[in-house]
Amino acid sequence: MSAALVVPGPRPRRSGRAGKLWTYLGMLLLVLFCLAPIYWMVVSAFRRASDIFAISLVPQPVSLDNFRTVFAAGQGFLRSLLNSFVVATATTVLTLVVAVSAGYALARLEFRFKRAFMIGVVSTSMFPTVALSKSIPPTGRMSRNSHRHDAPCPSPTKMKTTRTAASIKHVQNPR
Amino acid sequence: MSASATVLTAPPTAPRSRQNTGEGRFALLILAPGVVVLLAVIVLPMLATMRQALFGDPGLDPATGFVNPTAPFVGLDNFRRVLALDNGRFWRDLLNTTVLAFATVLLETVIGTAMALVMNQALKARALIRVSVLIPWAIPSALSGVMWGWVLSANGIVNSILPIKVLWTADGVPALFAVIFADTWKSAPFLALLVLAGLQTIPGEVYEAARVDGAGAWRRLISITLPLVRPALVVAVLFRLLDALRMFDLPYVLIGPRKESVETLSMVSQDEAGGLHYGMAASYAIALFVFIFLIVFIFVRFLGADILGSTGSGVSRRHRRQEAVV
Repeated sequence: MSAALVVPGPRPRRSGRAGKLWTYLGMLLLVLFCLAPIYWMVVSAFRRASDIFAISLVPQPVSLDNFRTVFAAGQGFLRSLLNSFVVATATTVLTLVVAVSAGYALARLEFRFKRAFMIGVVSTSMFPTVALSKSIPPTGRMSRNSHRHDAPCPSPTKMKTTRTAASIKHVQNPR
Repeated sequence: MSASATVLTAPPTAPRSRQNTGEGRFALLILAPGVVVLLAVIVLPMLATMRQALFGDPGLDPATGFVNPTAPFVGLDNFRRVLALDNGRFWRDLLNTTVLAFATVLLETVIGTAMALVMNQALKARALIRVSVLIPWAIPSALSGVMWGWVLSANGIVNSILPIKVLWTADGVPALFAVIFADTWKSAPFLALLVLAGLQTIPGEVYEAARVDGAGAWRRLISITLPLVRPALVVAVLFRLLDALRMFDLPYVLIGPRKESVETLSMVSQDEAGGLHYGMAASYAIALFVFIFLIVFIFVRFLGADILGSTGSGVSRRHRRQEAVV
């Protein structure tokens, strides 16, 4: 995926004015498709709570109220950001170490059971992610042993160390 | 290495079998961390889930009348309950999962390929284009769910542009469209980047030759670009399909849990686990796993998706090449 970003490679050039026009139109559509919802999110972030449903393309007046609320001391958003950062850094480093060495072995070396190993790797990504973390140990068992059966499991999005910046529901409803 | 004397006369890859054992040991060494990680975070939980599927809920034992604090062994009973014809939730969610996955992947393929073609032609503003393509893909699905929930809310911007008001994020067909659209927005860039990587491996001479032969732009697209980019495209589609069939967070955040029209099998599994029915949750998860495995199998068999890359043992490589030709 990232190879697509760095390798320029030979590109076919389309000649003629009409082709160029189509390309520009495509570029415009592409940027609009990708960024229009983002733009709306950014604009909405700068609106006051009272005119949050306004549909003007530029917020009037521009307000930083939402940001003040999010970064208020009691909100714990900074802690969530830290959690996100720690998780992202740790998984990236671990993934890089593991995947680069394994990738080298799979791409450059010949060994027995290579195909079987690759099939195994691919099939691990067919297993539903929810079943890897929730219904089974360690998290499932732990919450079952440490709480009564009828007690609800603690929601990870409400706990200090497992809440990440993407746990938006928590930000929406702090309590 | 004892073969060094013969290297001068023989090609360097000649002592194949002896080299293989040495390579095998080195391969084992550098594969070990990956194996350990996969075992710890995926294989063990997978096995634990499979074991869990054989156990029922702890609670009142109907045979003895006593409260049983440990989960009773029920064998394949959970699967029987999941796959029962009158378990409407399973069959409905299987349909939901399939419709959502195939609709999004189809849309993503069309839009993603178009995006890749545009990106391949773009000579100006390449940085802007790349950043804008990466942003939807880089945003966490939960966050894009919140964002689309906002854009599509009852008083949101989409409803104020449209002539009619639609409750996109409640339930029913509009919710299905909302999830399909949000997921397409998020994942089409992924496909675009993979297809772009495939496009950039097509040598420019091929196009020049076609132009000399008088092929127009449309003809070049149909007869050169698409066939040559097909291997990359098929693999990209397959990997997207793997993810889309396990879709969870986007419908969960955008629409919510237990909504008839967008509940996927991942969501029902999570819902059962939330209700402490771990055995049923595990059974749903395994049913989904088998379903995904079948779809991937069909894909690899009939579309010749080369998901394992072009490396592999000699026999299978030849086998796959035949598949690719067919």
